[in-house]
Amino acid sequence: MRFLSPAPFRPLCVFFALLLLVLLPAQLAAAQSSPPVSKPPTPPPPPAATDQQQFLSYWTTETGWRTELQLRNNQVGQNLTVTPVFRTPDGTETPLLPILIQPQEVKAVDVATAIGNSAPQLIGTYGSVSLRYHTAGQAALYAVSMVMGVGHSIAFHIDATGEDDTETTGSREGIWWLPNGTANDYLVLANHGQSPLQLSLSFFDSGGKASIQNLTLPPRGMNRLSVRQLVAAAGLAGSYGGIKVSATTNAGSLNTLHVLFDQTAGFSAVMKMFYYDPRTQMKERDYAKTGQWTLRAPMLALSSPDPALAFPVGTILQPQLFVRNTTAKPINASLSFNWRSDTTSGKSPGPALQLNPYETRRIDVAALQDGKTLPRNAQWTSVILATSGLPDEVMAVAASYDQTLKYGAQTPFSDQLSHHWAGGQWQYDPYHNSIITAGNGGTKATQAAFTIFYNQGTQKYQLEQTLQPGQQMWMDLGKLIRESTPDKTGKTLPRDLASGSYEFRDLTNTGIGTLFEGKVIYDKTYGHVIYGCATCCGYNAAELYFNPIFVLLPGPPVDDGVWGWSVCDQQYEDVSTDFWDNWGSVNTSIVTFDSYGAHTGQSIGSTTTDTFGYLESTAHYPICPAKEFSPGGGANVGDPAQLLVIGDTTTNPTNCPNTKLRILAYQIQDANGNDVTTDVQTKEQFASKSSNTCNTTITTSETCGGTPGGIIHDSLTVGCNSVDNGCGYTYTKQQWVWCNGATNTVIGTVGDLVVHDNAISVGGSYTSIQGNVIKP
Amino acid sequence: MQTELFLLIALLSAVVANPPSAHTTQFGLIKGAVVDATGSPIAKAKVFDEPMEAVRTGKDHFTLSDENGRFLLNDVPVGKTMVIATKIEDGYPDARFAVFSGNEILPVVDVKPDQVTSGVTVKLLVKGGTVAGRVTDARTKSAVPDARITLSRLDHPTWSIETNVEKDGSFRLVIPAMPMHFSIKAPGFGEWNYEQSVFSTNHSPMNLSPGSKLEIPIYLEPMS
Repeated sequence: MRFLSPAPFRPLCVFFALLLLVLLPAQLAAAQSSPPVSKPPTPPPPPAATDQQQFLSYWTTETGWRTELQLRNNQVGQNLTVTPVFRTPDGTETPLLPILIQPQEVKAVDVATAIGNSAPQLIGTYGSVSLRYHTAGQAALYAVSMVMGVGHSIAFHIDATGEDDTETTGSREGIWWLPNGTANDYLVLANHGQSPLQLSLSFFDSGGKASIQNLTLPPRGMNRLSVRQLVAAAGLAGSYGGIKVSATTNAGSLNTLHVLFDQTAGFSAVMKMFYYDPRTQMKERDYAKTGQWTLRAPMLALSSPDPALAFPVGTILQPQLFVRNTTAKPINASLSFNWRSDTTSGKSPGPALQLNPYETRRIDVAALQDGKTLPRNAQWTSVILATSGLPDEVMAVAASYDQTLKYGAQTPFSDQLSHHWAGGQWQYDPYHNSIITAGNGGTKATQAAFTIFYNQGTQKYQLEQTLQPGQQMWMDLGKLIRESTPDKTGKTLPRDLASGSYEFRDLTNTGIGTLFEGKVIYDKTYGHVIYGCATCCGYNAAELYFNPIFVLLPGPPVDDGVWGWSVCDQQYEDVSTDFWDNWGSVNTSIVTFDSYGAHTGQSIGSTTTDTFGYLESTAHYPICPAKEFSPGGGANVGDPAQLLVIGDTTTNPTNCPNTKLRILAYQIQDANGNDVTTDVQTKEQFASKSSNTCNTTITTSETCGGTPGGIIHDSLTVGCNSVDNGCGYTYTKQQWVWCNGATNTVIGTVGDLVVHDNAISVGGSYTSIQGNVIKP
Repeated sequence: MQTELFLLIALLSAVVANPPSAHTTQFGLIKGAVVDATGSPIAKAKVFDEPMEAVRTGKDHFTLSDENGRFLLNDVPVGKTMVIATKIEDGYPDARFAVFSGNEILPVVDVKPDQVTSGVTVKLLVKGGTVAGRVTDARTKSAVPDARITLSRLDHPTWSIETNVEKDGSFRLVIPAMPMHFSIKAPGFGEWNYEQSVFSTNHSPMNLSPGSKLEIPIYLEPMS
């Protein structure tokens, strides 16, 4: 054990004191123009939890199919209980047993097994699922339905969505593709709401020629259609074109899914459909502030696939894009690529596109891999599609398959850039591997953090990397495990680790991030690759640190800031930097502020202050549009003048459980009863102090010290006495004092403290004095 | 050098936060780390010294663990002291109270004057559950701010805690995952008891699972 006497510390303390003297004037001078250095206060209580619901548009237990639900609890430190309610096409509901999920854990539920246990009548059928839970925000749950063809290399990843009863008019936009003469397809139209849903279903050929029909979905019901049959019936020619499913009432209840499969060829593809909401504004979806609506597909496998995908040697893929104009007006678009080979990476501009109304265009990326636009040996590329249109007026699908369609991979287009992506399940074992990527879609460098969660979410592995604009970080999970690659703390992943969940965070940009992401899982069982998406994590509330804020006069500036309620983490996060430069006040003769929210008292009184800023928010489907938040609150300027008793607790201390402990909580207030929420210097004092018949030495708070938040917690006890039988002590006329310089001010006279091992009186009361106002 | 700086900063910050006043008492320091039940370090936990041969009254005396779970407690009265860590906001019950921690073995350190006792590992309690709600008058539906909550252990009934609700009648408590009696009293109202309520199954006591949240709106019946 090292001996630490005061003497060795003295030179250091003197040095530190001198350093403070040197630095203090400079700090004071800079107080109005520098970002705050103080730590944020304790966040407010969480918002009230409410009933939440997400929907998976499709499950099936029909012969030849298997469905697995993957449910991830995004919350930090709280379990999540989810009740799946299975719906059949006619809207009949069957609830199953609730599922308990630990924080950051992904729980896989085999639908046939779950149904077989409690609802065997659903075996051999299909439908949609409602997932019900109780949290302060929908995104506490990340849910996916994995639909797999038994004995085939067929699998679909289907993301959950919510319902928006404010969206009356809107559409879901898609692309149909018939890659060969035998591929089947399902177009699933699901009504998640409680009212019938009238729909208009339109098919377009590649040139924009349309065929339109109407149909109605029952409440909670769904319809499963064949695009191949509908296109043929409409007389549309070609192998690809557009789909529009629109509603003029209750559009927020509509969810769609379009999948292709060919059991003979061993082929499957998800033709991602886009949500079009006419209310959407450009500023909500221009995360990188480029002025152009931009879509990205992060992981397009190029002609010579990465060996990590484990396709047979010699497999040649045919990467291609389908780009569709969903509107009646011409739209310009441009393509660019950020490619990567096993040895190098680079950027290439692609072709410019002039899309006619309702046109669907096929782009042969394989043909662009000619050594001019894209290198022949490039294995991956991210595809960037910038448009002159508004959000979701152009949509796109990427696919990369070999000639037989058996081997291939997809990567979905999305415009979303986020500060936080909560990812689902990854796998690594002799039959599976996962490759995950994140890129910087912004215009400035950013620090990206990648975290792997494992052992039911209790363990984590963390990597960080600075990403330049357009740059991506790539994680081959199998390689990280096999090669025992250390994380930023030196930790390695267990060699027998097989699965877990993951997340990305943008450490540079808190409110609106610039990261995009992608994941593929290779399954060697039948030889296919499926993609998975993480969910972006927005905020659904913004609150000031203090409401009201209290500023001493005279006194130092008080830093205010903003908490954002993260709907994934289900906790407050500090988003103050996104609200800098926007502070305002109703009355600047009472309080002023700087760009960073530091408030300075000017005269005694009360007013209000506020600020505004943009944060990623939430939507009923997996996007996080940028939304303006305008938190505001009261601002009081004054001096400490009295105490309000806000807590009075009596219990037994752990260290001496046979004695009593009484804890008083006092809120310091000004003369008008406004809470003093800043850290003020206080101490206690007494008129007299008796001896302690419990024979324990007493340490008090009779020297000035800080009072964080303006709340004094005063603990009264006798210690672990060996005397018993009511021993104790009496301290008379306890007063709390504001240490405001040369003249200290009494702000509350509590009265006598009679503290015994079996009972404690405060100001003459053995019972609670909570609610009392204690004057000087 | 890094350790020295850590010690110095922690020492200075703790002194600024709450300096001792009893000049006759001798003090030492405790250095260690906060971990959870799996041994993982826990950041931002509050670490308290709870003297067993002395009494600390007045303002709370604690320090916060750093991002690696490390802490340095200064101004600890000499003699035997129990070291207790809490992190209520992450669902760990407050280990300072016997009603929550009575069966746990918590570290006891023999503090020497002006000496650092290092290598102290403090485990947080096993995560508990959260019970929250609002106490209202069943007749008027208005808040009952003077309601008092009492929690006690089944296995050790003399260990209890009696505390207040907030001004708006709301409460939020993190309690251990074990059977507990839970009742609420207020002047002028009949007592509300969890075991007699609709929230209890077969009149069993409250028994939350780790990480769970129970929200219970409580309506007190006026006595007249």
